[in-house]
Amino acid sequence: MRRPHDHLPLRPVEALLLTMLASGDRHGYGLRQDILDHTGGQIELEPGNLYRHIRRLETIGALEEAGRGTSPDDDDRRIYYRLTPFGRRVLTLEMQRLRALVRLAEDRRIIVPARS
Amino acid sequence: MSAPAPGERLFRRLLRLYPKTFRDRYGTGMVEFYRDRRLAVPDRPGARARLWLRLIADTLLSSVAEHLSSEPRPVAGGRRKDGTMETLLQDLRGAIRGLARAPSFTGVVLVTLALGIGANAAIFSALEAVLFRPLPYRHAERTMVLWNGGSVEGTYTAVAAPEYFDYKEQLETFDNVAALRPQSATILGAEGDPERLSAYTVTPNIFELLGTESALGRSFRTGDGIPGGELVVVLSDGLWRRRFGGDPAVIGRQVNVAGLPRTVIGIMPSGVRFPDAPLDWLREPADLWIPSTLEQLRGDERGNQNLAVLARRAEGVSQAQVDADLGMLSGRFRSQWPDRYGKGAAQNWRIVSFSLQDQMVGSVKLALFVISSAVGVVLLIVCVNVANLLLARGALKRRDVAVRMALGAGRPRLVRQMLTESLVLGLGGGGLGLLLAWVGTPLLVRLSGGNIPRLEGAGMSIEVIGFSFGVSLLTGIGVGLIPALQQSRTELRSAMGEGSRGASDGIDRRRFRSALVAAQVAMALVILVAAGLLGRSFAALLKVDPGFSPDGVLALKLAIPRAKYDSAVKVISFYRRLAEQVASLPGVESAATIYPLPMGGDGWSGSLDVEGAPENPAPHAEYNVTSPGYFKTMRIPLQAGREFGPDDAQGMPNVAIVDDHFARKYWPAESPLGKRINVRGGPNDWITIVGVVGHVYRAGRSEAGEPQLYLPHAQYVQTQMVLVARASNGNAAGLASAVRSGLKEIDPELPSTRMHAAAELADKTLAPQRFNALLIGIFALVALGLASVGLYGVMSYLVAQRTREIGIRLALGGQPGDVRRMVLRESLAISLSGLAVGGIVSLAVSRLLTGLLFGVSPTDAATYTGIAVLLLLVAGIASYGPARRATRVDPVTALRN
Repeated sequence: MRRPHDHLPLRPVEALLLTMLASGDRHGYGLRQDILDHTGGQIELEPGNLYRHIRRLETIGALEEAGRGTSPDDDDRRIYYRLTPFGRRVLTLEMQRLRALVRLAEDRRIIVPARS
Repeated sequence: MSAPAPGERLFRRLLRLYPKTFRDRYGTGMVEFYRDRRLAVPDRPGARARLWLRLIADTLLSSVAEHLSSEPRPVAGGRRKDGTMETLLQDLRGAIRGLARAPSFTGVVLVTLALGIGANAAIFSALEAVLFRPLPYRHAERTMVLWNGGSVEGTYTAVAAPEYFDYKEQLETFDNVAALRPQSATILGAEGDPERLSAYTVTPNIFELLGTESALGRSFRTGDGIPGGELVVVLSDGLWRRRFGGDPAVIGRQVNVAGLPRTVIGIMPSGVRFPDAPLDWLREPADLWIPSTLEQLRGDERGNQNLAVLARRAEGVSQAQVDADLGMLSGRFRSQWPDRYGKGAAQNWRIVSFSLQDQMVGSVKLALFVISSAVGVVLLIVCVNVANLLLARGALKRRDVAVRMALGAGRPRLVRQMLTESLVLGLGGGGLGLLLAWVGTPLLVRLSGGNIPRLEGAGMSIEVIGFSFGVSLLTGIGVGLIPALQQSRTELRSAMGEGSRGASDGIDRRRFRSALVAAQVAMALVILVAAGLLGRSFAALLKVDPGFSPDGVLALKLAIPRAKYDSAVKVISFYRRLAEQVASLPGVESAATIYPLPMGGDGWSGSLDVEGAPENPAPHAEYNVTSPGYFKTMRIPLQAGREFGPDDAQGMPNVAIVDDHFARKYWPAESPLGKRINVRGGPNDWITIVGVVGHVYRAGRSEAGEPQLYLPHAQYVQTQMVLVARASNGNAAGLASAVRSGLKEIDPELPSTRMHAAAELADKTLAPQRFNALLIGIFALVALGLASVGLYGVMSYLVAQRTREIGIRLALGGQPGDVRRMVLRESLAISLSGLAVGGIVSLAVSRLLTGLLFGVSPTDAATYTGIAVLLLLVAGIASYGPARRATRVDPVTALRN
């Protein structure tokens, strides 16, 4: 088994996908809509592209099938995906890596430091 | 579970492009994704096209990437290793890699295929929109249009109100009969300027007959449109949005339409503008509909034929039963009113019927058929070119193939490998072609100038994408099969033994490739002949003198409301004042009024009595109503007698002017001046002819039309007229604002929206012929280009094949000129055999063009000769390069190798 940081850096879309899954299980189309909303419509994933990313993330063990939705009232039987503990670690490491990068850019005054 | 929608089926098919393991694992999720995605896309063709373009592009890119990807795939439970699938994937990967290694070859093939498939996809999208797509009405299939059949087969006239009631009450094979007629209407109101609308008076059952409901409010129902009842109106979606900003509160409001306040009761859905495409003379799609039961016209004259009648075939009734029913009623009419139905000119009268769809698009079927045949032939030429390129490439790869065979690859596997390559090329070219069609179809729509009904609906659709996919597959297999079979037959020993000398093909293969090119020349000839014939027809049309000069004339179509202009005196004085006012404007040379405007889209003809002429067949003529000064304004020559003057007014002797065709037909030997005709039929209605003018081509340059008759507006009053004004500087458009304000001064409530340069309207009548000639011309040029490229390629190949032979000839003292002549002779032989075959095929099929030709015979010798000479010239040019190259062969090098 490879270690989490062997998978860094993540591709931007994959980081986005894991981020969306971090707040709950999603089906494929839900992932697309979430990403659309959070990127101001910039990233519009179509099925082939999306599932290739899912395939990659599933191969490295960052996400897994959560089974089919079982909500009895809305007939929702779609395939959901869930973030694995391993995936959460990969995502955390990726975000830390990005934070370090942002800090560096702030120090060098490439961007104005964010107030926190 | 119900069958999936066509879109989902297509998507599932697209998924097959992915590796099997990927599809097994994620296919279900992707289909679910697709369903959600499809649901969220609005039901507009543009949005759907965008969705499909994205999905197809996504699938192509992702599936190729997934196939090439070396990354491991997650293994689903119980994955089997699928041998066939694995080989297929290997072939696919091999093909893509191989093609990527030969980018110029791949590029040329892809572009050629894209041209051929793209042109076909664009034309198919037109066919689909015009002919295949169902009309937006539930009962459109069962709806027929009924007319009074004319004396000549294929001609017909409108229906009179009493005839409509007879149809409605006596025909048994129809379960619903409705009538409609155009009504010129102006809409007034605070929400905007007065606007002239395309309105129709319809019987209230019309929407129920067609099978469509209102989108908002209600559509008509029994009780609407009865004489004396509440005045109501239903608006089209377009008018509602344009004029009322899509405000639902307009329902129940009163609007002033056609001179009277009427209550808006409903809005139809956006697709509904019946008649959406022309029903003969009902040309404009409707903006609004006004109901009328027509009861007040039940006892009207049977000669007052001004309705179009729709009839819905009852369910389960066959066409034969309908015909029998119509025949029976026709018989009843004939025996009841023998004078009207069945005598003289009406000898062949009967009720005729057309299906609604045929009536709307029947006139363009032939042109579309010819265009799609041409584009199909272009694709065949493309295929031949690509097949030839693949053969040439195959010759280069022969050693490669031989090595593989020596290593134990079986023939089927080799064929499959090569087919995979051509399939990849076909599909790639198809994808590019689809993009081309996506760009090209709007251009096509623009080029048609609105003359092809329903064409504006053409665009990307699932059907078009499916069609292109199918064509790409067939093309891929078609172009690959022959080279693949030929190549795998390669004999091991000969290919390997020939070593570095380069593969020299057998005589068979050379013949085969020459035959392919000859076929190409033949096909190019067929399209070029069609284009030549259509081009000559168009030139002949341009040469026709229409008998009047529309250049520099501005035309304003008007229809004044009867409610406001309620007496003949008011109507006459309005139009007289308008003509005088406009004539006095600076920059106006002269002005007058006329109905109908020549080449303005309207027609009007009828029968009349000519004193002294036999009653059978009844004299028939094209009618015109005009004011003094018209002939001068339109530059129609006065050949005898006088023009109308201000004294030709009400209460004065009735006068008329006829054209020279009329004069020659009824008084071949004498002057028509002083002769009398009768158009109203009463004993005191005789009209004296006072002048003769030149004949005018009223419907367009292709039809001379019937003899013509002019009546003075002051004696033959009507509310609908066209103002014509000639600009003294020849610039019609420059008069527009002056004429507009001139109209405003006389009646500010009249719209001036229907203002056109008369020359533009006249030009529009040429649009169908121009469209056909231009489109076929473009395809012919493409065909010519492709054929010459094909010829060039094959001649180069033949020269390269014979380098040694040529070297020996030169070494033995042969002259370069001889060698050049030898090559050119060979090319000439190929071209001539192609021309011979193409000529025979053209002679056989050009007859199909007859309906589109004007002033030229489908076997026109000059066209055939000209095209043949052109093709020979191009063939000569295409083979000149290879011929020169042949003379430069260095004997020493050629022999050493």
